[in-house]
Amino acid sequence: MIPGKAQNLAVGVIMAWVLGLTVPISAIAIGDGSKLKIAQIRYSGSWDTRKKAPLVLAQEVRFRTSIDVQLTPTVVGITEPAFFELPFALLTGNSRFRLSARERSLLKKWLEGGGFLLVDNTGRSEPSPGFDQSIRSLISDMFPNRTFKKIPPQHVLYRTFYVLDYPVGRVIRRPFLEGLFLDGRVAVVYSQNDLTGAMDRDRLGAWTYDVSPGGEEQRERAKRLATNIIQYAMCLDYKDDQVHLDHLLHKRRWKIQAPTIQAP
Amino acid sequence: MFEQIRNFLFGESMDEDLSSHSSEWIQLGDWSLASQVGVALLVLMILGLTLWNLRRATGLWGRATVLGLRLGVIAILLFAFYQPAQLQEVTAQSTNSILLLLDNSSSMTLGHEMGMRKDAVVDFVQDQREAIRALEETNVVESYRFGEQLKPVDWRKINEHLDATDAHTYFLKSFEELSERYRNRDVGGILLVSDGIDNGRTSQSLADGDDLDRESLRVLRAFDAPIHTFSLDKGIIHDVSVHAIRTSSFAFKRNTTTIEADVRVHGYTGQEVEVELLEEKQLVRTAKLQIKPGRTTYTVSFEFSPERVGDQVYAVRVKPFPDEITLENNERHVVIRVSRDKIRVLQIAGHPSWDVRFLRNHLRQKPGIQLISFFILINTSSSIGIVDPSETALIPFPAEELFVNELASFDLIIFQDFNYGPFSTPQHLHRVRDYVQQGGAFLMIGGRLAMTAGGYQDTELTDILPVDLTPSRLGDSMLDTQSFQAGLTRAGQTHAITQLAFRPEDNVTIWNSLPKLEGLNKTNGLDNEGLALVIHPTIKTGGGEAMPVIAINEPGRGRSAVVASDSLWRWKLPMIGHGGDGEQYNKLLGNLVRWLVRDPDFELVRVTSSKSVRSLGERMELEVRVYTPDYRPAVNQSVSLRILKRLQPGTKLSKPFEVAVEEISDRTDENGRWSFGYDTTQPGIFDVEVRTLVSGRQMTATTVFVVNDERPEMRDTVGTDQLLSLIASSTDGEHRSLNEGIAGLSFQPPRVSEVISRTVHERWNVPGVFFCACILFGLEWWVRRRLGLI
Repeated sequence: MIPGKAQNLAVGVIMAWVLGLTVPISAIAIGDGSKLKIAQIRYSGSWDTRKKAPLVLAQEVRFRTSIDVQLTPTVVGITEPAFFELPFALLTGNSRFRLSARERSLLKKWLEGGGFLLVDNTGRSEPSPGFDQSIRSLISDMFPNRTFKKIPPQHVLYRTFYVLDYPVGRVIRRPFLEGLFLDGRVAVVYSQNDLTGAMDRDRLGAWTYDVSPGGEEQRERAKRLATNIIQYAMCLDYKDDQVHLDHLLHKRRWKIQAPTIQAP
Repeated sequence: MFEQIRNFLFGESMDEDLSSHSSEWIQLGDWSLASQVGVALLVLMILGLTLWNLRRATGLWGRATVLGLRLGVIAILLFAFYQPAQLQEVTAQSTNSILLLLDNSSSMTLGHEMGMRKDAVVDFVQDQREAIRALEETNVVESYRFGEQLKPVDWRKINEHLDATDAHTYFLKSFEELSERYRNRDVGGILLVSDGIDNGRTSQSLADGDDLDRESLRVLRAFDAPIHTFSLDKGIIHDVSVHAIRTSSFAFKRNTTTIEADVRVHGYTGQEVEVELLEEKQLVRTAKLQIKPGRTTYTVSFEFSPERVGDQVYAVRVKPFPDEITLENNERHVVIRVSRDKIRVLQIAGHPSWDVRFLRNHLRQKPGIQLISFFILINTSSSIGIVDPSETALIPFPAEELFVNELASFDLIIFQDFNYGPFSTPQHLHRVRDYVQQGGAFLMIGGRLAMTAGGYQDTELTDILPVDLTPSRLGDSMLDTQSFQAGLTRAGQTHAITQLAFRPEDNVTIWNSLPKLEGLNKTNGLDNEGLALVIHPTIKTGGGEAMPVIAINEPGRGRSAVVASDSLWRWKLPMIGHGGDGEQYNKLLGNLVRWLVRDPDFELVRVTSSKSVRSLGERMELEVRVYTPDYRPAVNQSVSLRILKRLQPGTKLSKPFEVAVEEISDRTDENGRWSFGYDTTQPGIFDVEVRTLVSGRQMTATTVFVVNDERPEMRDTVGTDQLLSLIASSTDGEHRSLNEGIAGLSFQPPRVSEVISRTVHERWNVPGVFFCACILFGLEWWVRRRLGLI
């Protein structure tokens, strides 16, 4: 019987080998500037709770899709000039935080200009109330007339690549995602299920956290959700174009059903 | 004796034996007010003195007698002062006019039993000549022919004067002109002979209701005389005609539009009539009508969806029967301006990218654009192959459906870094080429899978792209990954696509402030009459020219453009980071799309016609408008125009054609307009082509109009009795057929009298007045003496 940690190590080595052999030749941009870079926002607070998750996310997207992804991690501050060169950004945390006025102003301008922000509450045992309050306060400061709204199960986000019924992460605390809608698109997606926790690895390449209650199947669904979110960020709602809708509804008999979460 | 004495004393009496005379008292003395006041004061003074003198008289009777006599004298003097006379006028009744109106329109050339309709009218006048002469004994009979114009004729020579050449029949206009001629004259009645076909306002208003409109009634009743109408016997006339077409003058591409046509059938029953709808002479729809007994008018409705934008010529045509009286009215045309409701755009991307995403976001936010995107989400070696397909939202790329069935339904096709190799696309690229050459629009956006890097140099698309995709002979990579500052060419400084500011120098400044692009698809220069708008600052083609970044051309009837970079999105979000607002990106893409799909509002040169369908001989008015690139009127702009007649059915401005008007040139006025009138001398479909130079670039505009050979009179060959009957009944006249003649018709008696003689009998200067004055004065003197007053 192989001990747990050694087992994880073996899986990691095998995965690395598989990835190395079978990573597809994806379409790539002419210049590096047009590649998808998953930028982790650095801010004053617990911004780096999931250090390896951005890399794993990039690898998963590259492995599964035709998107040209830069695997080198990118960390950026909102006030840095490079921030506006990066249309996709990740903001994670598990404690209270507050952006400066300048950061809020630039972030607002970035979102309105087309930027997409994935926010992940990485609270360990439950969604961090401090982080939750901070992100809602941030949205309220930037857009006084708007607030997070639940993204309904039939939203195109759940079928931009994979067909998903409900959102998951390392855990399933909230069976829904919330979003900030700007000009008909979701500009900010907020997960309280520690989505990046399902994709974080340790120094040896093993998964940092177990996923519950669904185990590895749930981890796979978390990766799929992340892939969908990336696809949405880059393709928007094109899957809502009628030709796709007709095909999916009539040929695949596809439906969405939200899960029922049992109270602990 | 007594009469002589009376005449001597009081003047000649008036002749009471005259049958019509009148008399009245008149005053010959024309005294001023001052004179009359003076006389009045004198009278009062005399009366006053008289009363003063009578104060000494005794006896009431004496005083009254003197006063009465004095008043009598004063009255006679006043009578003489005002010089009264009697005016005697002798009058006599004058004759009135009876008007004979004869229809001279071209419909009178149609058959009527043994000859033409006008022959029947000539026979009628000749048959009724005795009755007409009888009318002339008490009236003045005047005859006219009418149609387009009213012209007096001699009814005795009617066979010479009636030639049935008027192209229209205007009842109301003719009566208005007649009314003006007889404004101050007495009309006893009107005899109107016609086949009942009217092309004017009266029949139009009758078509809307069952009675004549108020204006027509006013004109007809202005004569205050009966109008007796005579209609021709119908006989058997065989004719099928398209009487009218109803449709909107505007339609939207791919939106259902309806054309309704009224078909009139005479002389047939039980047969089937085939009615066709044609677009630009191509058959679109067919309908069949079953002719029913007793029914002459049928309405056919065609529903269709126009597929081409612009002024389109539609015709409704009824297949002729062999024995029809005329074939002139079997076809009618209408021109419908077809506009886009929404621009349908197909975006095919080889993979998701920020360039793809920002372009899609831009297009989807335009309310006038209907966007369908296909993104290739996986690669052939992707791990997705091991996933159950039901767990993904991926669909097969519908190459067949897009490129075979639906291609023509799009206004713009975009290939964005699209690898044509897989998904059966190579076999369809010739369709894309044909689609563009037949009027479609195509945009290729660069990337590693596009242009030469994508292997497109071996495809049919090279026939339509504005750039040469031939690979470098030296084997150099056709991709450059470095950042660069895109620059405008001379044409790009003022072209509508790349004009982000009105003034060229401001435009250059804006372009220089845009963020650098990253990555370029290199080409071998321009091709297919391509025009470079934006270029690389340093990289040259093999021929030494600046490397195009944005280039356009117009292959065949379509338009094509190339953007040789996949980083245009950097002019959006990164531009915002540089302090801009990203609107230049929106404006550039908006301009590009509008130019590609030939948005009419984007056209700086426009030509319109006053009416899209004219009858032969009518004048066609054309108006040309030219704008500067910022859409202000182009003043004193040189413009040239020519008119081409299509010789064969088919596409506009394509050969063969015949030059109807050789190219003529002129200049626009202060409003940027130029008007040109064209007298139509031949029937057919005509294309108008206008050319001008705006900001150094040749601009053209076109429109189309139709000249019908049809004479309006032939639109409906059988008139109805309804109009003639209503004209008669509304004026207390009678409606008869020709063979009933004019005997027994009633007319108004003359209503106008003339003064034959006028005599003035002065009554103030007769001897009787003098004698009366003397007698009264003498009596007064005697009474005054008796009373002791003198």
